[in-house]
Amino acid sequence: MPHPQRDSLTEVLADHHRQMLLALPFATVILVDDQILAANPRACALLGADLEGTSLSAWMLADEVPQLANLLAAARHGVQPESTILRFVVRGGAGRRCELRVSPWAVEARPGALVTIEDRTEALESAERERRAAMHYRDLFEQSRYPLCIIELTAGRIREANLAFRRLIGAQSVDLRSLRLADFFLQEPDGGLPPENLLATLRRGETRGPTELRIRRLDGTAAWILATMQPVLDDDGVRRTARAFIAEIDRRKEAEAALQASEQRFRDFAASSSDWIWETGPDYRFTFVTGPRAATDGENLFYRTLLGRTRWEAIAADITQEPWRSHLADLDARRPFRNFRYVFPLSPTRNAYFLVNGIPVFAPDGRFAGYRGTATNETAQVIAENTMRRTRDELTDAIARVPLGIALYDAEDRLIVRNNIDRDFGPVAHLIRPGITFEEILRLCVSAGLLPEAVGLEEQFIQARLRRHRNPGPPFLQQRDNRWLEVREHRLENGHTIVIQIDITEARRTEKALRDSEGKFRSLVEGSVQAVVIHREGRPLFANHAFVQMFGFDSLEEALALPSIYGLFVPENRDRVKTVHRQRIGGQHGPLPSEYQHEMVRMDGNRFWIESRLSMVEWDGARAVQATIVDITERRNIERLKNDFISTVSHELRTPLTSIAGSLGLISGGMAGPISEKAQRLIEIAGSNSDRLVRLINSILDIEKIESGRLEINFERLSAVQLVNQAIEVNRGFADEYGIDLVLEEPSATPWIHGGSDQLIQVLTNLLSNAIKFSPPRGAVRLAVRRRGDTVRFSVHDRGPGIPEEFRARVFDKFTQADSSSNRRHSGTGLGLSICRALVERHGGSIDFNTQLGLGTEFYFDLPEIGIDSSRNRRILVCEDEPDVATLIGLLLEQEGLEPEIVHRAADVRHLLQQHEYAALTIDLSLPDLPGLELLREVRAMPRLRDLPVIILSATARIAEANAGGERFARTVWLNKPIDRRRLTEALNTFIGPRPNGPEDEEEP
Amino acid sequence: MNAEARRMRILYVEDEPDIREVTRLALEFSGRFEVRICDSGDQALRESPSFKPDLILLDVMMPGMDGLTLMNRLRAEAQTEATPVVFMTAKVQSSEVSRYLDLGAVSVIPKPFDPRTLGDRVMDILVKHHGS
Repeated sequence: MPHPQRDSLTEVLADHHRQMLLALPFATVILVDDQILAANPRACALLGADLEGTSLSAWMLADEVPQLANLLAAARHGVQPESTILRFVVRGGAGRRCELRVSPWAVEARPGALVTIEDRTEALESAERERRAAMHYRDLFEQSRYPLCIIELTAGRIREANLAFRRLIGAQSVDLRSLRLADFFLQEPDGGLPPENLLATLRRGETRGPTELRIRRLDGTAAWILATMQPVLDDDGVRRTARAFIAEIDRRKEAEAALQASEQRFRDFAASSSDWIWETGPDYRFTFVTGPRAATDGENLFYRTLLGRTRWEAIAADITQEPWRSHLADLDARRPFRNFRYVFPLSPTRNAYFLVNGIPVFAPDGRFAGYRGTATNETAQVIAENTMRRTRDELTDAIARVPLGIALYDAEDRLIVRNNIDRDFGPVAHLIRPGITFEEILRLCVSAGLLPEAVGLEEQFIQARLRRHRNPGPPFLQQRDNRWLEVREHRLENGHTIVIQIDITEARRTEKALRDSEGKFRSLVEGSVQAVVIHREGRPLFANHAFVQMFGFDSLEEALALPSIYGLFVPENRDRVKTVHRQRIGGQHGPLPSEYQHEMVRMDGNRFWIESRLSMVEWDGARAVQATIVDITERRNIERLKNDFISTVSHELRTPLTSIAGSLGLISGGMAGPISEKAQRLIEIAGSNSDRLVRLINSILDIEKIESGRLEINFERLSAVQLVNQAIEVNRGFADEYGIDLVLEEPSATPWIHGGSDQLIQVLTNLLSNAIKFSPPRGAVRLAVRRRGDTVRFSVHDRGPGIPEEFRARVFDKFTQADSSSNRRHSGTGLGLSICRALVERHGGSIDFNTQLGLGTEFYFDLPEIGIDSSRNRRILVCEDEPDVATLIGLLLEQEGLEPEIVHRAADVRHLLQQHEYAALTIDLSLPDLPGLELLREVRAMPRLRDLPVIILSATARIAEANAGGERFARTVWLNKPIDRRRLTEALNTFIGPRPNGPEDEEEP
Repeated sequence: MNAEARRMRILYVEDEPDIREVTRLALEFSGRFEVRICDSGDQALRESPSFKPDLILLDVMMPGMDGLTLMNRLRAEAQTEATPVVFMTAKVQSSEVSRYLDLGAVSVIPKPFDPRTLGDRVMDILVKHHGS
């Protein structure tokens, strides 16, 4: 039962201990610092499934907790306290009384205890009930006004008698059990039975009486009584007692009434006897056997079959064999015997086990009268012992299979069992046998050179190791060959010692690497000026100093105590943000990594703006969200000022322009009356220039918006051909004005791209209007859509004069026009191509041109093609042997919305490439098992992977590329380390396209 | 209603005197409109009940009451609750245009406009809104 909140080390420890406890036949838990580290299934079944990680005291009644504390305190001091009954609250809330045995048990130098818990509730309750019932009936019996007694039929003695009876015979102060019936029963006047005969009658099951009898009081006087004597048939069918109801003659009627009233209760009382005793005659045949009250039917059958037979006759035992031979020898010698054990087959599948003690009985005259004794049915105990033995065997078997080295030594430090002997003791394995002492094994290992630490100071090492073994402490490390072993020794309750050796060579290596890497990461994050918080469903798990400061917490503790980081969002957005996050984390609405802007609330109540970047990380073995946060209040203020300024400027510029353009329009429209041709020409010049000014203002606004990233692009799947057709429609009127044909070349394919249709039509319109303007009259502008590898090329081709050499470098710059002197009717703003480039780049594409003076110019842009299935493969296989670097690459890729899978060896790459489809592969050139270049050649040799994009990421990438000489690798990019994030992103974009969503999102306010 | 039957009444609100004048001239030049000019939202609210406009032409950015507020106030008046509203504005980025339309304007005329075609444009809007 792994506990979600425990660290992995604790879990590993818990797991070891759990294995160890598994086979114990008692509910057992191991406590560390009073917390339950491990519990076995029996403990869980007794108390509850979710024991681990809780405090044992949580499961018991509050009153008992101090007592538990005492027991644990004793254990901490190495003392084993006596077993104690404590009350637990278990499943369903019922209180259980459990017997606790607490033993000292240190785990990893932390004080702990091994606690076995045995539910004694039933046993204690039943003993209590019996005791109370017996007391109750004893009281009734004792206080009865009528003389009552119980007669032992075989011995002819009084077993019990009440006060009234003792008064009757005048024996208040005498132990009646020393008297025989014959001592005070006188011969009946009517010649009735002598006591011996009376007893025999009762033994046969006959009731005597009511009969008038004469008795002799102890003071010698005689009295007449009316007695009724009934043999008591016990559950097992044996009559071992009789009860006598007695009335003095003159109180006969009352006695009869009393009889009826108490008969039932008395029956119960008489039956409550739990002794099991037996007697034999001189021939060893049973004359008398009492079975315990709780005997089963089978056992009762057994008791009945005994009467009249000897012990061995009853089971047809062969008395020439042991143990019967010795037993008979004892009997014939009239010796008392103790702890004689034998088996009685109750049925073909079921045996009963008996333990018998007996003493010879001699008559007053010295004659041997037989044996008398007790017997115990040991069956339950024997079964329990067998179970335990089997469990122990199973445990031994289990130990032999585990990869650890486990040895068990007895109290004299002799080996009981050791697993994996051949593996662990190599040259001396044949000498390691049960019975050899720990010291002997140690010396063998040292002389065989198995323990490098001992070399040179053998005796010193042996003595130190022995001291440690004799007083087991916390686990310690030991070198064996080239391996590191963690050695744990535990002294068990029975004085045995268990030695466990865990091979931690691998763990030590990875742990160290992990620690180094974590240390680096931690110091990086701790010291970052960016605030970082890691949370799971809002609950903070980690935060750095910058986060504490940014939100105005007093301390890191305060920040981590935050019930939910969603409380830091302004109240009006909390629920929305939480819902969006949850959907993203649940993977329902696209990948999580993205930049968001949010308004937040500081601890002092002030509001401020942040930009956060989210990514999924692994934290304590589960997914968590890591947010990297920048305070953008200042940036937003500046942006707002700038936006306001631009908005105002554009409005303020347009207002006078509206009046100017309007007035010019009215004049040239003849509203102000006829004007001269010259004036008309001048008005037109003013009019076209005011138009140009308006376009200029619009372009400036456009480009500002694109460059600031505030342009909202509604990304969707678009058919490239359809898009070009739309652009042709939009510009057909303009082309007609110039008498230019717009011709779309027959497309060879119908590729799809991902983009905003408004913006792409704007790009095409800009290119078309340039082409139209520069085309010779009655010419044609040709458009084409073609596939080029993973991209789609859109091109616009004119037969214009071409772009002059000296101007080509500045074509996409702002405010540049080749023929600024030209006097064209629709002169441009000098911003069109600049806007085109900005828009194309926002789509993850690139724009360029080919030109030839006097022949024409082709402008083209390339956008990533998307497959018919828009859910693109985003898995990137990263092969990098340096763990830190691998982690870094993984983070970078994750932030690009990709799904990196990290491996460290070429062999893993081979394996995974066979199994999965990847969008790209990154290779470090220096791999432990194969040069990276070899791996690249291997990949390229596989037909399926010939076109797999590969990025070589290595300190010597460019050199390697140069040294590859004539060897050409298609779809391969060579990037030097340290990794330049921008170039990596660019390379990935080229191959697999940019992220489908830019920073804008529905989250954007 | 036949738009040709009588001169359509246009209520026009604009704070900028020059633009007011150009627009008035452009609309009157077409000879199809009776134009009532207001220089503020308050004036428009005062005059609209008696004027009973067929169409309201509003500048957006005005000191005091802006065009959007004015539209909502006119909507609340019985006489103008169903009168179509057209914005004339220099703020014509696509997000702003769609916002005005979402708020209930029937059309948006960007500034600067061509005075020679303004009349036709307003007529188109009226015909479209009222049906043939």
